[in-house]
Amino acid sequence: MLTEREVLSTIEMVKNEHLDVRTVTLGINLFDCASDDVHRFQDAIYERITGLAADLVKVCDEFGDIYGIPIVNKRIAISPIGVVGAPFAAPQMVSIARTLDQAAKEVNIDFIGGFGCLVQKGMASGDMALIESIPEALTVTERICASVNVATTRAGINMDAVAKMGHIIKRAADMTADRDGLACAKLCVFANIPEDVPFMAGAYLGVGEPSSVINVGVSGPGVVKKAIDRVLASNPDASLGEISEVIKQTAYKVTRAGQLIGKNVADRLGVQFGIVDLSLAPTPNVGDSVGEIFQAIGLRNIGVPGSTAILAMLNDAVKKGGAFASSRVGGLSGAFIPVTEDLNIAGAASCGDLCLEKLEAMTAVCSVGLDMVALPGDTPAETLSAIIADEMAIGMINKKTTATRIIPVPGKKAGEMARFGGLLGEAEIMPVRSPGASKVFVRRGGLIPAPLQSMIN
Amino acid sequence: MKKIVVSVLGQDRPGIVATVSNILYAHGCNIEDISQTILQAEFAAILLVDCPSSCLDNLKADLKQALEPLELSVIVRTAASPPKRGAQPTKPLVVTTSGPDCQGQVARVSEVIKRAGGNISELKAVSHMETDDPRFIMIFEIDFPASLDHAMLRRDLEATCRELGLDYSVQHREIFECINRI
Repeated sequence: MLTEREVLSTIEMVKNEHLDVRTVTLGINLFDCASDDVHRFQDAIYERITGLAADLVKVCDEFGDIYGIPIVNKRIAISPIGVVGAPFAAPQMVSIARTLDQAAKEVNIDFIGGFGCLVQKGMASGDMALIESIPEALTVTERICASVNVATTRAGINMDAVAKMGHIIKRAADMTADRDGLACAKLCVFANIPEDVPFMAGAYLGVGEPSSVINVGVSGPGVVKKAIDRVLASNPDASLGEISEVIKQTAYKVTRAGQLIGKNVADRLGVQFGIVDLSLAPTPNVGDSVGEIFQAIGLRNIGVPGSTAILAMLNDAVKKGGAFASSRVGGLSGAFIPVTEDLNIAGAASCGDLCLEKLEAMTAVCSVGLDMVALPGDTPAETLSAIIADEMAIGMINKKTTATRIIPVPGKKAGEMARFGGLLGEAEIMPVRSPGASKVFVRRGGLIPAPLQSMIN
Repeated sequence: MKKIVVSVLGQDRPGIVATVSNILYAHGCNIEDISQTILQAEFAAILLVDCPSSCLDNLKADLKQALEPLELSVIVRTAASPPKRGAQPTKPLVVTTSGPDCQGQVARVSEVIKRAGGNISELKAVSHMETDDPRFIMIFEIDFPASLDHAMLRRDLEATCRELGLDYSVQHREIFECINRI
């Protein structure tokens, strides 16, 4: 027998607190589609994707309906195209991207991730071709996401790749200047990229993964915020330890929902179930915000002193709750702080409480990095690369995943609005201090060596 | 031994369960199952009892004699046979409605459930009319046939609840268990 509280609190989470399964992502291995003939390769990957994912959307919708929890996005993650498409040149990579886009449209999924490569120690010819093709590929397609891993804790930071990515981002922005540089919103530069991320833009299917796998991304910043509100309503003097406990319990509930739905979808599709990625991923809606959690706990805005401490606590509590709820927690699993995708964070940036430097400091304790940050269009490529390098260093030294998804908005300056629409949201462009002051450093290139693992202070 | 059902209904007061169970004990009965609840000031209990066949008439008389002065009514009858194990597979769903307290809503919603072949295993109807957010909430736990057309049930509920001005949800029972229970 269910209790009244069990039923009503669950319904409340869905109806008024924005609990959803943010994404069910089907990982598809494409290695055995490899060919030296691009047309044969395109035919093979199209057939593989449309075959395996034919029922993905239908099954997700069915289970979303049965359990009463919406699955907002259905996505696909594929083997890195820089590897499986290694024989091809940049123009062919663009046509491969078009094929992937067509396959995504055919099976009606929202995004397909994996148009990427891993170059933390060096760039092979396939990687080079893929990186060169990224601006055009993201311009001529709708549903492709790209990611490039340029650093790991064990390999160091490939500064040649970092320098290259600054120019690639500039070019991608310029090619989509009419949409505020939208292509850059689908491009992530990573350190320590996980092999099983279901979220975009970093989703790809790692080499160590099964031939097909369902990974689930669950979200619930609104649920966490309301849970904190309830605790503080009954006990206004609740300590941070008590609040952390509430976040942990809430994260547990959210993760359980994702695990149940993901497992059922995987079983129905006859695919292995992978992981639940419990990430507090906001949407540009009131009540579905990570920034609001900071206000609920007692800060004027995210970005003011105390923000890094709260984010550390939030991230840890989310992981603890998630780890107890599922033996298959993976991906990023933590709090996202994407500026344009969170109304509240965007507001904190526009009123000056959140600056780029504080955002970077916060990425040392969150699960992602500089995410969806709109920058002035005239920011030099080397400065973008230097921002990336700083972020990669945080990931490398802290043995964690970090990423940058930065958008130099063509023709716009700090303080003007950048609008991307939908889940990508909008925000004021944040100022970059000292643009152009990092050229000599970035142009040196080479490899920043991997850090020592013993003396870790 | 004979399996019987004893049901007791009336104004709540301390000691009802003790009175009934002591009489059963005195007649050599074994209580197998009890469900007891209180609605506002009304007590209701249903007991499934193994009773020696020889003392059934005496038991009925003693229960009446003890309970009627307390304004409690008692019914004793032979228990129905439980359903066979491994019968039809079912789909356990939870239907919840919430909205203004209007006459006929239990009847209308349960009629939809009946049409879809559902068997209500638990029903709670709770009045929250005295709160800042006044509403009447019903929670039905239902076993539907495994072949249930989920979309049709949802459409039928949607139409009925719209007429009654109710919010509704229909969800698989599993989601509540997995979120709230370890």
